[in-house]
Amino acid sequence: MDEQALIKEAQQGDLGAFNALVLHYQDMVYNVAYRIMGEHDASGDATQEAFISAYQKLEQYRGGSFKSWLLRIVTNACYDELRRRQRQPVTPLKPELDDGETLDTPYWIKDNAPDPEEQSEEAELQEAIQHCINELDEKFRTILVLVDVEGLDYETAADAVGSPLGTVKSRLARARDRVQECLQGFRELLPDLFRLNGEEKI
Amino acid sequence: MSNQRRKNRELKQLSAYLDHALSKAQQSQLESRLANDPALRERLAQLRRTKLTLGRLPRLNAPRNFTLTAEMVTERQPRRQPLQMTLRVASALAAILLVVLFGTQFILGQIAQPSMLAAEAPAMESADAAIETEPEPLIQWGPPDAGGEAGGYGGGPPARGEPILEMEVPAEGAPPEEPLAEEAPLEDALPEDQPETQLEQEESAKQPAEKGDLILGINPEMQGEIIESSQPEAVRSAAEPLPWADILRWAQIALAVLAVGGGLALLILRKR
Repeated sequence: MDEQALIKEAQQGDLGAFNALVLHYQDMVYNVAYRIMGEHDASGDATQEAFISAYQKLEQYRGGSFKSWLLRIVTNACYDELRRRQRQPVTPLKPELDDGETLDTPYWIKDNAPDPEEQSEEAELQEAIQHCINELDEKFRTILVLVDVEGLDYETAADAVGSPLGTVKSRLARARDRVQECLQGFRELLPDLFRLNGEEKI
Repeated sequence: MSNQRRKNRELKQLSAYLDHALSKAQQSQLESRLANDPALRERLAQLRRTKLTLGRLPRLNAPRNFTLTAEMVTERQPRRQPLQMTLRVASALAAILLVVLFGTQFILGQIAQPSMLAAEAPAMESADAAIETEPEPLIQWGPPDAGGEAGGYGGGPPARGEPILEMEVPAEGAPPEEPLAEEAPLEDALPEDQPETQLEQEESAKQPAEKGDLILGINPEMQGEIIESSQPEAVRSAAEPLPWADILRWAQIALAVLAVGGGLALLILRKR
């Protein structure tokens, strides 16, 4: 894929060329959005919003890493979506029974995936990690996702969030430290090596 | 506090060390410390495990394609743009007009100053004319007993030896300009122990009204009358603010509200 050629064509209004870029980057964009937001629906909204925004701002792209440019738009879309959801919090629905009482266990929104006993430890661990990521402030969370989950280098991450390299290093260190503390609460889910060291620490 | 700072700096160094983001010098310095500090080694190991654990998270695939359609792109643009554009243009125009109005007000104020002075001049002339045609002034120069509380000592003629102010005096009964010193050569006859001013007062009191010594007093014929002391109509109307000043002020307030309100609305819309 000739990325720069596609970008030029898209800048001239070729939606097909832009969609080729969308298909190339949508997994990364969705993944980042999900790790920042921790929710599938919100991540889908933020991803779609990010691509629309990218297309509309495409003439502002002045070269350099398109990936970084796109990631910046995604992270901003995530922040916007998070703020929008904070302003309009979604309250979980509780279906009323025939006698007017509500159900505490929303069985009707439970997915059909295997029940907790059938879920693998790996899946639980992933949930625990995501929980710890969600506990972070959004600025720390974004850096952690970009570097440790998405595997970006410091420069690309700094470019994506529009912060100096020193800030990125500092935020990443603190984010790792906090996640490490948080994960101690899920020691039974952690790999043996992690668990043993956690116990040694205590 | 400094201990916390040191810990933070240490944490930052360890984190950067994991990603091979330290300079050679920093790296070798940290490695020598790690060799001698088991607690620091354990800290590094914890960070490494955290990084590895985070790396275990699977890469999610997009649940669907996020390709754009022409409708998505064109529908999105006009949804927010017209309102934002209108607000942007309106607030910008309001701000510009506000500046123009301030400038106009300043310029008109500069122009109005001389014209107001000019307007005041005929008004004052007419006031003078009114004073001239007025048959009997309230305050007049006259003898001390001519009436009014202002008569007597306060409005008496200047003492001997003082410069005499030239004043227009009503012709009847008033003597021509004569030096007062010649008129009242009483100095020698006065007792020495009496203060000079007191003697002068007594002297002036003895003088008959016909003698024509001038003193400030109220015209006896007009005592008790209520006389309007305010400015003449012409002068008053010239001093009143012009009607456009009010219009201008209201226009400025309206434009300021529009400019600030538009800006705030734009900010709110942008945050949504």
